[in-house]
Amino acid sequence: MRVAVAEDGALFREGLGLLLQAAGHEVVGSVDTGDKLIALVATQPAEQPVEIAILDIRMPPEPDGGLYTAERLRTDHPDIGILLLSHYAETQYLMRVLEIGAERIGYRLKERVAGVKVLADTLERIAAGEIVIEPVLAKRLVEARRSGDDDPLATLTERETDVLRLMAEGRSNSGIASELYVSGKAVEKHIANIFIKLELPGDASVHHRRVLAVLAYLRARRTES
Amino acid sequence: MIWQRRRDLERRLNDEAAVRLAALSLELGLLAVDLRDQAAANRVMRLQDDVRVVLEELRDIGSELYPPVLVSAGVGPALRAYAERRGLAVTVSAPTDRYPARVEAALYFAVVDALDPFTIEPAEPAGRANGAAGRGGRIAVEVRRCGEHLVAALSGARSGEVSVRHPSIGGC
Repeated sequence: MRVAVAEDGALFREGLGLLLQAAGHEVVGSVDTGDKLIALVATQPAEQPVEIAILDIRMPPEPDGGLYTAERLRTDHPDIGILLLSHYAETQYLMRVLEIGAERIGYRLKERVAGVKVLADTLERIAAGEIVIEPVLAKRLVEARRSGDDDPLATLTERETDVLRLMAEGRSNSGIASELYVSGKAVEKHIANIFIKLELPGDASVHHRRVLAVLAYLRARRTES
Repeated sequence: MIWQRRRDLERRLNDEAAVRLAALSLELGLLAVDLRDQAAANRVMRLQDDVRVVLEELRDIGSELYPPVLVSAGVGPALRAYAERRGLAVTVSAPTDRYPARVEAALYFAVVDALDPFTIEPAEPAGRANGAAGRGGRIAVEVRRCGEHLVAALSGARSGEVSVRHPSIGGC
């Protein structure tokens, strides 16, 4: 894939470029601000567009130049996949990422994409239209216990909790199946059970709607009594 | 001012130490690709895991020092992030308007300081009305606990109130 990188730390920017190449991707440009990324994307020939842009959240224009730039990018070039990298995994950032888009977008911790395999996997999922959410954050959201004893999450089986966590990471049914070494049919059954037990709205088969429903649920349960 | 020192320290942690470590992690990722010897590559990947743990620890310290969410989104979201990291189910009400950084810092740290003992020991009995818990220039923050509510109110030049609700706040 043709990838553009915007990151203000020179060391990380250079390392990421090399890792992308090692993973078989073409780095069309690496820049240190969001504005330069916008310019870079605009100057690419139409027959060779940027397919994925990787942006550091905290870079110029301050304070969250990556989010601001991603927003502009999504409006002007909706076909470009976006991967936002951060030093922090926070729900607050995740919500802003999801406001920018719920398809072909990802939010991950910097050091968690530092391997060829995980980087390639993340970019492929984004290119395939998925939402990719930092597993550290998905895990924290699923594990956060609610006070009181009427927590519907407590009614999930261990396997269903695993499936819920992988759904919160934005994984597709086949992705969940291969992570858990179970069949696609089994995954569908678990998901149906989760939707009933948690009374989740909507259609579990539309990927981005499902992720949004799961995240909205996990987020709301912490603040409602 | 103390909040400014805290924010500077967090920035140094994030922009210097953590950035170097994240780059080091990338470097190790590249090394793992280049190594032909699988056993050596596995050792490098284990080193990468160690670097991740250190970054995780730095991140915790950075969040304690001055949460980045406080800078980017203000007091309400920062308090929600604080509760989330501690697995604390609270309801936060805060003004959506942004205040100057020193005011937001005073409010945030007043609430966090008041919540802290009760995070460690939820059965902690009653807190009384506490005097100014955070000061910066003419800003004073008064913290009150009552029933399920913990309220931090600004007094002085600016007005505003942050309220946190949790079943076992106690007090009054």
